[in-house]
Parts: sequence; structure tokens; C-alpha cells
Amino acid sequence: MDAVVVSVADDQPLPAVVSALRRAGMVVDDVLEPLGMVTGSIDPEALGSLRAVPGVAHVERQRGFQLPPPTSPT
Amino acid sequence: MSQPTGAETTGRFLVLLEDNAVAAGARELGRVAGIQVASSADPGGVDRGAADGQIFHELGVAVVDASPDQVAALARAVDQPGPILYVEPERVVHAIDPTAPSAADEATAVDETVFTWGLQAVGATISTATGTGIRVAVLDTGLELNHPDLAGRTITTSSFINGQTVQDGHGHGTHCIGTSCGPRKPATGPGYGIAYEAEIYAGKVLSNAGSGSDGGILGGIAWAVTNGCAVVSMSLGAAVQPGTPYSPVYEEAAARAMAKGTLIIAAAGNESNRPGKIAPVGHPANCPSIISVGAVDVDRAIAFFSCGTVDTIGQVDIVGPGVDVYSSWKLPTNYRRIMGTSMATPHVAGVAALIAQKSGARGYELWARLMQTARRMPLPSTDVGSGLVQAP
Repeated sequence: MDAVVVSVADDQPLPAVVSALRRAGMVVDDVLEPLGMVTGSIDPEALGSLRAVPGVAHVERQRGFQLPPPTSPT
Repeated sequence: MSQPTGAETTGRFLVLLEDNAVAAGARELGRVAGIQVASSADPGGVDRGAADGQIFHELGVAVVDASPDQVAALARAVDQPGPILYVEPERVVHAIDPTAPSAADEATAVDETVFTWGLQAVGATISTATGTGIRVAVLDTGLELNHPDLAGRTITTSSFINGQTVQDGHGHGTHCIGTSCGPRKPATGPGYGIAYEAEIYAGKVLSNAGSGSDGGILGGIAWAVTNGCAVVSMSLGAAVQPGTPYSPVYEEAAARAMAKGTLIIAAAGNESNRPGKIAPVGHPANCPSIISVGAVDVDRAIAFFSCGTVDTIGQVDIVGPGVDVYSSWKLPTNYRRIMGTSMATPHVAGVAALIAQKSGARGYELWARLMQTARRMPLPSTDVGSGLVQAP
């Protein structure tokens, strides 16, 4: 499973799009209502089907972030 | 007649004559003040040695020697109808020496016994704003909840890291909160916090090992928006290769947050190794709707590590103090001096809170005020954007 984030177009009803994302195979972690975004994960092979869900603006794989260790000068 | 104040003058005077009336002007100089002038258009016609000055026909200007009585006569002529329009003392001018040392070239010794150099550099120490009533979200490794310097402050927390509380097991988040919202008068050491009366929203989106992902960060942004935070400070990022498009998801998130009054400020990144290598602004600071912060040192020079504007995607918007930055750290260490665009970012976030308090500005208006009031620097805009952030 790949961690993904989906942005929903401004004029689309969020709950309906979330239901459609689930039907397309997405395991939803969080619905970020103020941002119109949905985080979760999906089988890499089904990634394309998420982009085809009506009301979806963008689908991105989640990136990782890493700070230097606490002993670093930066 | 104008009198330059403070400028060195030659004792001669410049007389401005009416356009296309230079010959009449020359006669008038003789008539009202007895001044004879040589003409630049008549190289052999007048004996220079006998003349009191010279007319530059192309400019309609005469440069003359004049006694105080003659100057008074010329000043009267200015006030009368006629070809003499204006009289002013001739100034001594010097070539601008490009090698002259400036203050910035000398080793800077800043007294940090009362306040950190960063607070002084951004003018926080002379601002009357405190950040009171403004909510500032710092999305990072959390906060040292037992730090004595934050006792009594209004603090709201949330963790977006599974299995970890907001308690900072790393130190980075505590350092960033210290700079943006920490105290001015701690029990020991210098004051190091900018918006020292702001409400602190500590969101843990990076683990105690310093790692996180987009999901938690976006969750933190949504939490800040829901709670009406005017400012989100994100001292985090992921390096990108030149030419990498910015994230449309983060761009939309930032634009939607901004429309709800929440301004996102993020670190440009530390991947440069100047002077040889300038790395592009990282993700997500490279989004157009996120303020991207570079770092300068105590000499107002760009920090060697500070990411720059290297292509059309991702630009540095502003800079803050980011080298040798003293702030709070997790216990039992208490305080540390570290460097990074991570340290510059909370300086900008703290100042943004001060401006938000003083002006009431939010979103793009707050962005505009930050840029408009930043102190311009004699450095490439690709490195410093609008310049060094300044408190209101």
C-alpha cells in the first residue's frame, strides 16, 4: 500500500467524494475538512483509479521528511 | 535659493536659466549682479581669466563666483520675472569608492547579554507588539512541556505522530517555538522569543527521531486552520532536484488556508554549500502560496547552507537570522545554539504574529506587510527575496 493524499476540487461535496474514494479502494486515514483533502493509502496499482474519481483535483504519493539528528549543529 | 544641509560646498554657485534663454540669462547675470560669464558655446570669445564664471549652453546652467552681495542680487532676480530661475551653492562631490569598507565588512560583535542577535536584527526588541491574542502554530517535533521558560503560557497541543505525545523527544520543535513565541526575560540568559505573548499551538508532525510525512503535516495545517491560527511555522522540508514541480496538493492547501486567514511560513532548506553550490528551495516551501524563508548570519551575509532561487519553481521570499541562533531545547539541556533555515523561519513567524496583532492583517494582507516592511539587503533577490524580516 502507498500512502497518498488527495485534494478535492473546491465545488465538490467532500463526503460524497470520500465515499467514492473508498469505493475506488482507498483506505482513508483522515478527512481534512478545512483544506478539502483526504489522506490514506491505496494499492499502487489502483492509484490511477483514484485520479478518475469525480471531484478529485490531485492525487500525490506522500513524501517523507527527516530532520538531522538532535546532536547536529543544524 | 536652496541651502544644502550638511553637504560640503565650493563657495561657487549654480544658476539655472530659463530654457532657450541662455543669451538673455547671461545678459541678466551682468545686469543684476555684475557677473560676466564665459560661454561653453563660444570657446574663444570671452577671456576666461576675466570672467566670473561659465555658462553651459546645453544645460542652461551657469557656474559663477559670486560675493554675498551678488548672491543676494541673484536671489532677488529669482523672485522676479526673468530668465534666472534658481540659484544654489555648488557642492563638492566625491567618487563612490566601491572598495570602501562598509559596516558589514567588519567583524560584528553583538552584545547578547539581554537579547539574542536575532531579536535585535529583526527589530523585535524595539517593537511595542507582543503577539497577544494571536495564535501561532509551530508544526515540528512537539514541545518540551516542562520547560520553565514557558510556564504560565497559553499552550494548545496536538500530536499527528502515531504512538507519540506532543512532548518533544528531539529538541528541534522546542527550539523553533522558543524563537517564535518564547520569553523576553527568562530566568537565565538572553531573551530569545519574538511574539512572547502569542498563544502557542504546538503540533507534533515530526517524530522524536525527526521524521514525518505529508499526511501528518497536512493534518497539522488543517488543525491550525480549524483553531484560527493566523500563522503556521514549518521548519521542515524535503530536498528537491532543480526543475521539480511544486506540489499541487500543498499549493491548494496553502491557498485554502490563506483564504481562511492562516498564513504558512516554511524553511527554504539547507542543501546549499556556498559559494560553490546553490540548491533549490525544497518542498513544500517551493509552493507559490507558502512563504519561503532563507537564512542570514550576524554579518547580514547569506548563510552558506541557505537554499536559493535556482529556477522558475520555488523562490526565496524573505530571510531571517539563521546562524548561531540561541533558543530553548528539551530538558535537561535547556538551551542550544544551532543554525539552519529552520531557525530563520520562526523569526519570520514571530514577526508575522506581531504584525497580525498590530495591523489586524491576515492571509495575503499579512504576507504583503511582511514583504513590504522587510529591510532591503545588498544581496541577490534570488537569495534573500524582499530582505531581512522586520518587526512592526
